[in-house]
Amino acid sequence: MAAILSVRNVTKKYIMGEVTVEALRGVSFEVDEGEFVVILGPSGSGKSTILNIVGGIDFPTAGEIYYKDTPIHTADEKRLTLYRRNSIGFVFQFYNLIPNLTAKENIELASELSQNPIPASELLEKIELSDRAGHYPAKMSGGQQQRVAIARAIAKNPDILLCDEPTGALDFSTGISVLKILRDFNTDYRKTVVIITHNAGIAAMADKTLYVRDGLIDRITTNETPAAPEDIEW
Amino acid sequence: MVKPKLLKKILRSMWGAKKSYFACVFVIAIGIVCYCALTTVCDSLQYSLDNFYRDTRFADAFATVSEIPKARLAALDGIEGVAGVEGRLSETGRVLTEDRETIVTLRLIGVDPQAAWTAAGTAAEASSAVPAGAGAQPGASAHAPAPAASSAGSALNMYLADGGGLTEIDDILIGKAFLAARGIAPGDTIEIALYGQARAFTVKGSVQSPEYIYTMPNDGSLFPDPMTFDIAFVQSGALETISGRQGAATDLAFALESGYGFDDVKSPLEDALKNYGLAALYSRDDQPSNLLVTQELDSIASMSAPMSGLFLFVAAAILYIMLRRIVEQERTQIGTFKAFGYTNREVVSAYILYGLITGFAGGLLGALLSIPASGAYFDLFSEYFNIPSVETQVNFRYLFTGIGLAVAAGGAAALLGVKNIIKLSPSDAMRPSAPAFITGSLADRVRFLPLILTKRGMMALRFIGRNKLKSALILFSIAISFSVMSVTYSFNTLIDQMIYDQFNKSQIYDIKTVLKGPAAKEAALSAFRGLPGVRDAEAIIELPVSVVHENRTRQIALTGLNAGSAQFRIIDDQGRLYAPPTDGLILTKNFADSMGLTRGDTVLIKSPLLPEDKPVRISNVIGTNFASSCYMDAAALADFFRQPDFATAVVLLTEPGESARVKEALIRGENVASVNDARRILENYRALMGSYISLIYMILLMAILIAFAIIYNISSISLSERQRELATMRVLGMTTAETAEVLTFEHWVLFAAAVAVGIPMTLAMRQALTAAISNDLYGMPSGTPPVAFIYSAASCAISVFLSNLAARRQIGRFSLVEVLKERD
Ligand SMILES: Nc1ncnc2c1ncn2[C@@H]1O[C@H](COP(=O)(O)OP(=O)(O)OP(=O)(O)O)[C@@H](O)[C@H]1O
Ligand SMILES: [Mg+2]
Repeated sequence: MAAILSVRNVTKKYIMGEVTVEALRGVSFEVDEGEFVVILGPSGSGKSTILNIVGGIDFPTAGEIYYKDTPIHTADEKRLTLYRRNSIGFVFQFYNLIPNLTAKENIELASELSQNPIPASELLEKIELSDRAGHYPAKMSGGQQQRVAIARAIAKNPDILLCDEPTGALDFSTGISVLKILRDFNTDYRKTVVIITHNAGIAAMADKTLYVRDGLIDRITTNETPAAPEDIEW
Repeated sequence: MVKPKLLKKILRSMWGAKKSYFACVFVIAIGIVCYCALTTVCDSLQYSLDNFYRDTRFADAFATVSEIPKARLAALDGIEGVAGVEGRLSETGRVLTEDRETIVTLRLIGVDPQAAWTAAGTAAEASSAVPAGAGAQPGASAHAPAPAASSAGSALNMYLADGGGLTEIDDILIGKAFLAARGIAPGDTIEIALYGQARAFTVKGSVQSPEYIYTMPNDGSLFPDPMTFDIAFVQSGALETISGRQGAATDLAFALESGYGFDDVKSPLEDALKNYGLAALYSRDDQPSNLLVTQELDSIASMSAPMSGLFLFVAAAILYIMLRRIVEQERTQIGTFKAFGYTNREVVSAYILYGLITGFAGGLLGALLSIPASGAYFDLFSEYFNIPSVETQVNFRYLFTGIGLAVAAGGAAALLGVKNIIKLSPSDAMRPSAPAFITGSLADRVRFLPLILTKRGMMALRFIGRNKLKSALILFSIAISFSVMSVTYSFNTLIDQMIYDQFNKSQIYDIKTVLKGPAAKEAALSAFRGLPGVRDAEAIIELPVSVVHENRTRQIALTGLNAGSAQFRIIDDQGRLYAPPTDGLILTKNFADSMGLTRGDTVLIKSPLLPEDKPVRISNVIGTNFASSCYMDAAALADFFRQPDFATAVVLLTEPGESARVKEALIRGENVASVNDARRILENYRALMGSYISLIYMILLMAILIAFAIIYNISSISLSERQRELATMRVLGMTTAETAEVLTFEHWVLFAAAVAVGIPMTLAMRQALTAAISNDLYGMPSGTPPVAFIYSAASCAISVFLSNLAARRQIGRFSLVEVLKERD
């Protein structure tokens, strides 16, 4: 299987006056097309930094990132925008829905950007919120908002879905329902999914798990028989 | 009251958003400049005017007669209520110049040389004068000028001589503007012809007189033209000798006893003067120069409050919106302060500091800027009004009031903006703000909108709808600057239009020749038609008369025109043509209004040509933009005065290229008093308006800058409020431009709404301004040409466009990671 993402020797330094913080100290890994990848690691280890750089919203200090065979580390703002638009879906811990748009409109905001979007109604059904289509985010629970956020990320029909602690703010059962949607997207639409989590249990779902520590990849494990979300130990 | 740490925090966060605060400070400053400069100028003018009138003993009533022996004046003193009488002889003399195409005339006034301030210069100069006796000019006193000469203790309308008194019989003092225009300096000799006799005078300096603060030529021209006309003072003996009118007076001035008004002395004076050819009798209020100065002062005074109010409102609106945003943004901090035990009062007063500091800065800046601004405005004024120049006193009362107003506006805006702090409990404050109650906005109610708008458009519309107060304030602020712009643009455009109309549709002639006295119509016409280069000539009548209505008397030139004229027609500001009436008068609206007249009223005409005052009906009142006029059919006018057809002036059309030649010939004419080139009049008018136009451009520039300041500020507030949304959209893969659309669309919608509101607002402002500014000299052109709206809309659009560009750049510079990292 071909790698959809290749990360080679990526470093990230923050220079703050006298002090230099090395958030990433040479990270390399590959993600294959259609894989379900989990990134695990303690707080401050550099997980978000990796995801942001891979998703084209942050820049590495050094190193190379390839999407399929396209270099991302040398792309200018215009190409990065196109990359985010066509290939990447982002999901954040705090949803970031547009408060002024209804659930459905939030999803359509994304589909308007795509050549071959997944219809909003189909996605609403998938996330079991068809009856909430006209609701504004402020009137929805955290879990519902996160499901809408995921639907919005998926609506563009991107190749890769990047999720930074998508269940971080949710309770157990809500978390499971969100994971199920991500898994379904991974299997039904054959898309690549990368999730950051603090929760080691989630790694059981993954085809591949990256363990990050101190700005480095500690180890990478692969899992031939990923567990179903329902069977995860939280 | 405010804890030092809190103060530090506030100063730091203000510095962080300095551009927005500067914008606010700027708008406030403009408002305060308007307030301080206008009140200061008004005050200084009023002050110097009052002083000038008092020091020179400006008379309470005036009369013009054909001739009265001075010996008879003493008898008038006996009339109950009359405290003093002064009679002077005045004559129009022709200045002999090299200039072969224009007739230059001076209104010569014979005065008692003692009735002057011989102290050279103004109070300001006198007080800083050289030590007494140390080579000071003869007669110059080191103390403030006062009517010192004992024999002139009772003189009225004393004049102020700058450069020396009328010590010799051939000394002359001339209006400053004339000297400047013709490059004449003290010591020069000027030759003046009177009754066919030429006589040389030595120019001693310039003169200022309370009667001639504004000098209207007496040949029917509308505007002062210092190149061709001004006043000149000579010794009465000199004038009497040349004119051969020994001991005669034509211009009378009366001082009234205290407790008496003009109405008390009017009819006894009328009776007493009837036999001397009484042409006019009027009070100080109706004295032409005083009337104009007063009108001008009133219009300045009436502009100060609304102008500064508008700008302060706009600044307060922006400040309010900014502070609402700050409180929203800092609610966690506020909660923390409260949790620490700060009282509501302490927190609120800390936040109000934002407004107070901004208001103070704006007020201070405005007050400081108003000092040069009032100086400049005052200079502009003194170009047309010959008044002893007082320094514009920096009036600290106004400066402090200005600063106070600014601080109050800032404080009030801030108080409204931060009052929510009181309701905020510490625990609430720690949580993110509750979402605004969501109701259907326009975007949802109008069904088709979702179909034609992108989601971004919907977002923008909903944002407007959900922040109704804020949107309304923004809308009104933009509408106000739009209206100020439209008003100024329209003023500018209309002046050109009006000048064009006047000289292409009404006064079409090339040259107007005023005759020395009435001449038989046919004789005058054939003489002028016979001149080589003259294509056509038409005889008209311009007769100075007094129009009397109730207790008002005003002097005006009664103009007799010909039906079907191709050269001089009556036209109103709408371009409608009127035939000269045979059964009454047509009055211009400004004149009718100032006399309280309407169509159908009857007025009395007073003239030496009439044995007694004769009634005439007002057949129409028309709106015009020019000086007061009063029209009648020429033949009917002659009838009215029981005279055979006559003419006092002839208007001419010349053959192409023959104008100079015709003028040269005319000037040699026996019975010619003045020759006016229509083009010159036009240029004069432009010059008069020119100084106002420079003021207009200043206002325009301010309005444009304010529009930009508002829109830019709104845009940066929106940016900070919504950076999270905007960053999310960027992450979704929208380009900077697509993301910015949410903001830019909102701005364009507000812009369109502001223009829609601004158009009626402009019309209302125009009406208010027209009422405030029109005087006898010129009208404020009425109406607003559509092009003015287009210009202002374009100016506002440029502001929107630039702000949008700035917003786009800022969105492009967002650090997506930073924005999205923290939870809101
Ligand atoms: N803008 C920044 N300036 C300086 N240092 C930063 C910045 N952003 C991140 N860092 C540092 O980089 C390191 C990695 O941060 P990152 O957010 O990737 O950690 P993380 O693994 O996602 O942690 P968490 O699980 O808490 O989200 C941290 O030590 C952090 O302090
Ligand atoms: Mg993180």
